[in-house]
Amino acid sequence: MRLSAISHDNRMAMEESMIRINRFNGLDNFLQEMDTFQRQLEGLFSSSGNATAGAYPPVNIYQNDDGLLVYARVPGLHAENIELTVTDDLLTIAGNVQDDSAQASDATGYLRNERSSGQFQRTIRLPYVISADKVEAIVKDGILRLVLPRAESDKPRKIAVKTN
Amino acid sequence: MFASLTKKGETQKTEGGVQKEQRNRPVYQPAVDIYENESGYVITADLPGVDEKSVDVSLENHILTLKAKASEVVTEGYKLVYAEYRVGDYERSFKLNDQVNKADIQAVLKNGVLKLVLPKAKPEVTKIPIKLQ
Repeated sequence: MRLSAISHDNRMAMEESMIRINRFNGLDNFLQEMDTFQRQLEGLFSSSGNATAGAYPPVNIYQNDDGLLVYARVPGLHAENIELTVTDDLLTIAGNVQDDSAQASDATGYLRNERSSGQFQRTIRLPYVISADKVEAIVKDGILRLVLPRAESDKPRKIAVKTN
Repeated sequence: MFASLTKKGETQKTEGGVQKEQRNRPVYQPAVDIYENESGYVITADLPGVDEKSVDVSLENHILTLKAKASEVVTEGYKLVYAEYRVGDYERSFKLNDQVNKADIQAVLKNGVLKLVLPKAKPEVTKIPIKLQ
């Protein structure tokens, strides 16, 4: 069938489905790169060391073959106000920063308000599945440290090749 | 708006050329909230990763300076794959007006947040006697 013989409607449908397939491979990475680039750009104008308009809490992730270390910056957060959830390879950090200064009842005037407070939630996709029951979490001096061991079922297995 | 300053930490050397302390970390201005109430001012600063041994608050000539060092993280055997923040030192200065009672400034550090309470001095009224000539 020659292309010129396809009706207008059919051609639109074909083009639409082609774009959708491309998105899964090429466009997805592109969007991720743009996001990283934008975050770095915002970081240039911030003086406090983390991207101001980025996701909260900012995290650093360390990895080896057996597990992950995640550090999150959560100044002022008490352990009882943090909710951690691990589902397969998704980590969710949620909580509520109670800010006694932003809500000070006796304040007569605010001169500066740079800190943030309130509810937050952040979900991060990890590179592999985690053993949720072996996760360790410690919060100290406003830094949350998570040790996330890799699930045995998600570890690569060597497969022996037999010759016939 | 405050100026955004990111400077490298200082290098200190003794006379003999032996390096006493060299810090190659970024220095950030911590985010602060400042509000005023009846009895004074309250400054709250975010200092994640800082414990009370690593923070220094000093006052000289109406300038209140806050310096702190965040503790290093132990990551032996792991490789950094994603970073949204850098571990560094903190420094920020504030110019105080004459209303502040400098002798009674209090500082409390908890969960990586430093709270400074600056009470206002009670105004001193000195009566000046008038002598009759």
